[in-house]
Amino acid sequence: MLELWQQRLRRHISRQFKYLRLVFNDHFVIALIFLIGALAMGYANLLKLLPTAPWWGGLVVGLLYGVVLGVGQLATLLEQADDTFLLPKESDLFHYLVAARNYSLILPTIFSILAGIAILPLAAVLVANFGLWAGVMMILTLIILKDTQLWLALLGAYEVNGKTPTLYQHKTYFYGVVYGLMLLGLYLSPFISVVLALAWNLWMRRNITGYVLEGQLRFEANIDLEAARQYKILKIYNLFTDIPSLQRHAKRRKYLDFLLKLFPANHRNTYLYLFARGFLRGTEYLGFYLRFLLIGTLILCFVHQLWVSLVLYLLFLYLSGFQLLPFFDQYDSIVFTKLYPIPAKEKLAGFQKLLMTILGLQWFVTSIPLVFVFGVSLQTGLMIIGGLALTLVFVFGYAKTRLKKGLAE
Amino acid sequence: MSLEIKNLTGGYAHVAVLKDVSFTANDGEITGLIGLNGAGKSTTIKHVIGLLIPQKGEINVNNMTLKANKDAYHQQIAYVPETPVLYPELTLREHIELAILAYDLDHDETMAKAMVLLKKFRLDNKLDWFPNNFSKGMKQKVMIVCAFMTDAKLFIIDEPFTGLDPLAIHDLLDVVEAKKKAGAAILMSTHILATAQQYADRFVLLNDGKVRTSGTLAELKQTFNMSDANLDDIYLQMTKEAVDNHA
Repeated sequence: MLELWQQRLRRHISRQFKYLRLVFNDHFVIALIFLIGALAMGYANLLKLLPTAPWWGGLVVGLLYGVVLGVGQLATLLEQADDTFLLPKESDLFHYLVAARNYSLILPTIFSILAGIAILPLAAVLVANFGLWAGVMMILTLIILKDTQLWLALLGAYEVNGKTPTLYQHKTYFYGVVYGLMLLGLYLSPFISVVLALAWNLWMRRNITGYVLEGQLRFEANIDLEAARQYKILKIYNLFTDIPSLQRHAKRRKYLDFLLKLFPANHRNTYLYLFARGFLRGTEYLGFYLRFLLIGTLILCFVHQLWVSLVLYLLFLYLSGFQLLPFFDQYDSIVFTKLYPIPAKEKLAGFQKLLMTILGLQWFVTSIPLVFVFGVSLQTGLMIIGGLALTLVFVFGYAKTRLKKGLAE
Repeated sequence: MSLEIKNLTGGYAHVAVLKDVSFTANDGEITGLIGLNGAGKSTTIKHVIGLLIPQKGEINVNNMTLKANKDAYHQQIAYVPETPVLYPELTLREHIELAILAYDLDHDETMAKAMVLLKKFRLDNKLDWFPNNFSKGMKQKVMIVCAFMTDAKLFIIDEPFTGLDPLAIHDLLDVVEAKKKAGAAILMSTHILATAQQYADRFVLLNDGKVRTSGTLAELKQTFNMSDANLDDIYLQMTKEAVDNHA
């Protein structure tokens, strides 16, 4: 069983690297550096504005630690066929799952350390008597809690008499206890958090073997969970490259149907008909677009340096358009799209219409905070015209050349 | 004459699955494309609809080729694939509307035709559902409706009988029969020989990427020297030949 795990892990990791190479392409790395730089600057500015050690400081910092803990799930790498092929090996599968659990701890540990360091300056301002050692203690607490959480997830893979194990299996209870521990650490002493977290962890470990021996593996539920987890990762990769195995989901979102009336349904708009519905009902692109729109608008409300603001304003437009480009190929695997008696250039034209509408809306919305922050002036006007120019060049220049390559193949 | 395949050699990326395949599917007739798994039925169909490009040979639909006029060529063909594929984000009604837009059909007239078909296949109360979440048989019915509401001259149906319930098979054959009477050509690949024998007018027997023989049942009987055989017997005979040839 351990061999099976190692074999799957090797394959999983090599696949991740293959995709990550595609994710971190030149464009994206440059955009990322800008974004991190801007965020760091905003963070530094924010720290100056905050009061020192207010009574609510611990509540906020504790919440942030809770969010950090939320990152990373149990990665079982179980596959669809496992409930058929591995069914006779159920009891051996425990060793497999333990190995999977141990592996699942690696990335969250690294993340906890990095995020813990990032939170440190904020905590030092907001929480009284919070120094380097307190920060280290809190990171240690986070790692121990993550370990506990992953053991709990492993327990959740089993059921006894049709029931899942403990109360803490429910997120509300688990995070309730976590938040309590964090507050004790932040208001009394971080040392208490570490000791209590460790005690909880050891008590949890003691109960596991007995429970698993009695229990029954929930094959189907675990396979579904793993599939959902993989789907989340692939969805992100899919923004940068085409993932053929990605099965898409759709939500009806009937309340958005009125937007579809913007585009008249006629022969020339066949692809637009398809793309508009795919965009509004798919689970991939709309969410990212709205996030870009919302975060972009909010950040632009708070940035008062003209150049920084201009770069961010254009960057968000670019990123938003960039993440939509793979959508162009979304329907290529459906045979009918290839059989339509429609010239290939109509497909591009339909996609450009959608792209122009989407980016046009973003251009309009994100221009509003610019007017509020910098007032009605020549420079504001120039910035907004610059945004429009970028949108037009992106849709009718950049996107066209990029996507034409795909059409020729 | 509707579909004419002349000396077609083709397959996937330089691997020739089909070797020198020639046959025709006439207007007002159902042509059954019969062969073992891997004989080249689906590959032939993929060449006809233009998903694969011939390495040699020529495919005409009413004297038009894909090369000379891609869009007019596609306009004449309706296709029902073996494995149903649907747009996850479109409702059943929108699938129909999309096909109407793509083939530039009259909306109301085609919608009325589609409604008749939907009623027949008992889908008329599911117009606002996502068909992608339907069962395999129901998805297949959606594909059938979208294909048969058009005015295509050539209908291509890849293995239609697996996955459909007996009632739906009966309904499909009704619909196919109606199109045949209206003068369209129908090319149908299948393994369900009893049904094929009953409904197809002519047969093309594919084996190992080559046309073993083609013709009406009477002609096939002659070729194989089996005067009172049915399609099943002939098929088995062909299989035996294939095994003998390989040995």
